[in-house]
Amino acid sequence: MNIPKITFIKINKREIIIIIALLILAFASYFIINNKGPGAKAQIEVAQNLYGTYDLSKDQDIIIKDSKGQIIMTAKISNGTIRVITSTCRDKICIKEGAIDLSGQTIVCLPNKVVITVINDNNQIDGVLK
Amino acid sequence: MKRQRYIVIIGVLLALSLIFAYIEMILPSFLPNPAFKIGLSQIPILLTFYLLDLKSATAVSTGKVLMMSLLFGYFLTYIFFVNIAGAVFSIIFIGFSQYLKFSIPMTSLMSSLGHNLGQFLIIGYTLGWNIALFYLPFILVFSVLFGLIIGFISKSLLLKIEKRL
Repeated sequence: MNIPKITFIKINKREIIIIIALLILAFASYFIINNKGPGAKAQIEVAQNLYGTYDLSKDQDIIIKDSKGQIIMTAKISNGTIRVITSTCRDKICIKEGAIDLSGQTIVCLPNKVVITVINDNNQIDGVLK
Repeated sequence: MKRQRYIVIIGVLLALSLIFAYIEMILPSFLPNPAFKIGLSQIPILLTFYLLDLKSATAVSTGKVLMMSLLFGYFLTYIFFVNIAGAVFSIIFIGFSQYLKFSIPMTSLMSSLGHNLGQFLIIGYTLGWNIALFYLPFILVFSVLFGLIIGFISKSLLLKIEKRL
């Protein structure tokens, strides 16, 4: 069989340098981006449109509808945390992500294009990154 | 290579990649964020690249996304385009590392990095860059870690397969 000859080159110095550079970039970006602090409000966006901002200190259930008016998700605020309890998406990753309460933390549901972000009172995250 | 033999090999690799993608879908995630996956279905794609060529790897990679979307009913939805962007970028990065003559684990790392960056770009473009940037550090760390793991698995498999074929 004329399979092209596989060249098993070992990991060399050049590649280790690239790997270390990537890891340094990862840790640097982690400390630049993640400014976690106590969160006050939860902001819900559906397909980049602001759906609503909810106070985390008030326990409530939020029903999220898409642009056609169909219910796609239910979120629950309790004990200062927010989590997704029902969703129409396929793999339910948004439910598995659990409860979030620190500012900057997000729950993303890709199939429904829903983004839930915990923010401070003074909207710091939008000021820094948008 | 005989045409029949080529079709059999690429068919088996595509089927393997589909099965791995399904296994990964039903396995519970042990990572801090369940959206991240190990990328087991990348093993057959890497095997295709080394046993056949980049063109066949492109066929297996896009064929996998297409067939998974048809099997699980998300063809031409938003999540389908996210996946296809990942597949295309992963192939571009594999080609790039072939050009730079990277080793197998490093090619695997580049492929997983490309996969994640493709999805990162699409998600940033459609859902806002602050959301995508939040995941950037995790993307980089997990690409390096799982890319290398998958790369070493593929390397040992290739060593075994090369003798048999």
